[in-house]
Amino acid sequence: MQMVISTRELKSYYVLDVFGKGKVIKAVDDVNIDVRENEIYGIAGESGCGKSTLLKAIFGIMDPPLRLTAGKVLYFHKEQVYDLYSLNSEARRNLRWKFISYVPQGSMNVLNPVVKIKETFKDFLDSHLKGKTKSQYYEMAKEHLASLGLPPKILEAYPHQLSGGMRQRVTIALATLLNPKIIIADEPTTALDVVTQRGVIQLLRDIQSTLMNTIVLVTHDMGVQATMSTRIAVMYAGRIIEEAPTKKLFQDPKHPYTGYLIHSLPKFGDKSRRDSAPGSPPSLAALPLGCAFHPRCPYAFERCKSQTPTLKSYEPDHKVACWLMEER
Amino acid sequence: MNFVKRYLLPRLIIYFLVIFIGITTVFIIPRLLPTDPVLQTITRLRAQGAYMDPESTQRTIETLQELFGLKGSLSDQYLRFWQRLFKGDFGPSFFQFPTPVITLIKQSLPWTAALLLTTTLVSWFLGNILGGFAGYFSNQRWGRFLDYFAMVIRPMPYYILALGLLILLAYIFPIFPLGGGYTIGMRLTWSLNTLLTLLRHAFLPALSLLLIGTFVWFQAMKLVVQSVKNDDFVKYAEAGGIRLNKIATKYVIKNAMLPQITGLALSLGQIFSGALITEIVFSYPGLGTLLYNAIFTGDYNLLMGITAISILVVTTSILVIDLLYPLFDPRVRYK
Amino acid sequence: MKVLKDLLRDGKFAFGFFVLIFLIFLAILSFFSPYDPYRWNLVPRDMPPSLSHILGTTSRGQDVFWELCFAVRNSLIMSLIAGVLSRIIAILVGMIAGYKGGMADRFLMFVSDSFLVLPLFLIIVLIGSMAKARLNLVSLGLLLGVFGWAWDARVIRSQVLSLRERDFTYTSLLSGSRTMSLIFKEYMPFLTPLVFATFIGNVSWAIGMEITLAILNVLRIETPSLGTMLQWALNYQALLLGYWWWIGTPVVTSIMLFIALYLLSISVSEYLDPRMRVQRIGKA
Repeated sequence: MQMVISTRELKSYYVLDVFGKGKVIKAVDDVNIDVRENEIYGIAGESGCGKSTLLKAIFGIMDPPLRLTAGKVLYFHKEQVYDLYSLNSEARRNLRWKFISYVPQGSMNVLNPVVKIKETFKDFLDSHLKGKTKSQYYEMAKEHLASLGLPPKILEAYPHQLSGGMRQRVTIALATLLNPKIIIADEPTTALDVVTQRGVIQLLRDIQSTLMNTIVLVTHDMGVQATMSTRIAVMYAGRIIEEAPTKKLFQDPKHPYTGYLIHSLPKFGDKSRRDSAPGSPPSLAALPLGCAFHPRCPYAFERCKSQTPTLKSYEPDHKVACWLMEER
Repeated sequence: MNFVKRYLLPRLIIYFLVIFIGITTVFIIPRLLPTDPVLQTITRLRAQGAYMDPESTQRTIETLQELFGLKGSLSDQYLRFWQRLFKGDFGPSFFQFPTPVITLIKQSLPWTAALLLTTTLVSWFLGNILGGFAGYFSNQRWGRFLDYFAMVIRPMPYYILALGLLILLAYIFPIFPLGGGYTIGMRLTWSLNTLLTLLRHAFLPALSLLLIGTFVWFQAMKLVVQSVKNDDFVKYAEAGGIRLNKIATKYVIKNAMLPQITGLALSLGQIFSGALITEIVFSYPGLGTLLYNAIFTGDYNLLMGITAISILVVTTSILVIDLLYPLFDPRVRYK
Repeated sequence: MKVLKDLLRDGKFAFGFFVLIFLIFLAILSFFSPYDPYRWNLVPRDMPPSLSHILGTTSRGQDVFWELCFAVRNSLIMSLIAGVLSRIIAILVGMIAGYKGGMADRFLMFVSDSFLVLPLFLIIVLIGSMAKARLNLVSLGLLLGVFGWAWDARVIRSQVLSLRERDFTYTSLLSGSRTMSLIFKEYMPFLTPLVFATFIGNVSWAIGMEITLAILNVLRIETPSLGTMLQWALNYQALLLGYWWWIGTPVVTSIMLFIALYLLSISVSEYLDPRMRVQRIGKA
């Protein structure tokens, strides 16, 4: 399997200075992931676990006080390896949209409110392509929308005239405009109603099956993860705690936390009470010693309170970070 | 049709209401204050040595009351005030008797309008563009330099800045004339020479207004940009690798301009106040100088005329900007 | 106190704060002045600064330093009257408009819009020139107070509008608080910083207006203030005659005062806006 993106010991912290007192929030801590060609890689976890930060780190859009503290992000593009954080800004800009593109969370305000949709399309095109006229760019945008089954007349509209679902589809169309190898989607369905959600999921799946590219899907919604992703990584308190192909993960979750996440999903015909993990996720600014999940974990024992488990393969293609695995 | 009802009509109603209130205020103020212009004029005439017997004094008082519009009951006066206003009649000036006030205003208004409108618009554009770029590229050295410059210029009283410029560029280094709108004795004809003379005389007053104005807008714009540049659509465009210059102009400045358009409309309200000081310092022959003379000579008709005219001009230009606003903001245009 | 300590760490605030303290000190000093500011020829005329008259003397035979103390005191008192009065109007209008909404809101906002649109400066000059010799500093302060509230009322209104949507409004309404006590007890703590920031801006505006009106000669010129001091100096051609200590004193003092107030207001509003604070930290 060919890799497209991988991270090496990635650490990304918020470094705050609250009236002279330093404060560090470890939003992404020691993350190693390998995303492969032609897969839908899901990143799951409760809100505040660091998924969005991980995504920003992978994409290279960090604003202070968020900083890359350590580690690397590697892009594999056209037989070449790019170390994202050693590239200058122009080289980084050149990889955007041609190699990696991005579908933002909540498309409410991501489109420039004072220009027509076609202007946004034109800006994306002429920042990455050269030597075409304005009307050629509009024509390209029109063809692209038609190929995705979206009405080309939305190009003449302003963002506020479109529905939330249509705006989300526009951002997906923008992300696929230059046929990138990898698309990163940050909670693409969260702000939408259930019916619209289905349409957006279908659009993303269609795109993936025709273009054969990779999608990294970040969402807390395990239902969406189950229907879309081919492989899932579960995050807790800034770390990946389990990673496996979707089927395996749902059938045989190894980490107690993953178990809770899956069991909190409703099932047809099952009327028993749904259990979620007791307590609430810890603050990333004050993590407990050892495994961050141990205060909520019913199986915790001495070792969990002092040592942090690392992510290891216990079965082929199934990684877990939990001391219970060593005990068995 | 919906646009007319929802946007145009309320604004027109407010426009006429504000004019009504403003003009009424101009009518009421002199009548509320304890000074009596008729008595004052009589006293002045006496002080100048004019002898008057009681009968002619009575006649003079009646004529003066007629000229000041002070005859009859308050409601009569008010009605006649409006009637005269519609005809553009503010009565005669006392400081240049018997030239009608409206003639004096007509002579002065073009000077003020040309100087103030140009500098207001130019400084608005300049300040917004500079502030937009300096706010977006906030780590650039030139931006920070402009910032410090603004911090010194901004709080300075305008009067002192203008005086300083005059001393520096007309007195110590006599590059520009000490004052006036044109060379004394010059005939105003349509020629290049005339134009150059006019520009040379307008340069210093314009420069002082531009300096203050530009930096006021510069700082206001920087503040707006500070919040716009964190908006989702800017962050998204940056993530999409759109060129930064394009983001600065088409995404940041174009959006941050919108509140500044309203600001421009409000600043026009201060335009005649600005004219006053500028024209006094540079002895520029506009409405401000006229007003200054009116204040010093106690010329009530002229004072009221200038105030009424400026209320009309200011509210009208604000209405025009307000009506143009939908051209820049599609969210107001199509709803 | 802790807030003050935090703010003083900002260089801009510290500068503004100490300049202001110094000027207040001058104002207090005026109570111990050896000279009566209304009387002329108490000291030799047109003397440059020396040990006996540290800022020199004027052509009217007055000591510039003690004259300045009175001027600062009067200008500050006048601007405080204007600032406090316009704050009271702005808070009342902003709160009632924001909280009541509906017709009350529309009416009050129409009034404040008219105040923004009308050339108020000209109207003030009109009043000033017609009431000449009666416009003392207290009535000028009141006049400026009546005219200087419109924009700030709008700012307060929009803040109240957002506070009204918060939970504690409903909680305290449901637990039977009276409307007025709710507004003042619950909202004031949120509005205080905003009121303070606009207060500084308003004080600065009032002092500038006083100087302008003094130069236009529509104030009672005998009362010492920053504006009338400058006006006397200009009247006696101090600039052309080279009496720099006379004209320079009010000019430098007012520039310092304006810069101090300006720095205070931007530092306070930066302190109030957490987003700007984070950006400042991010840069460091």
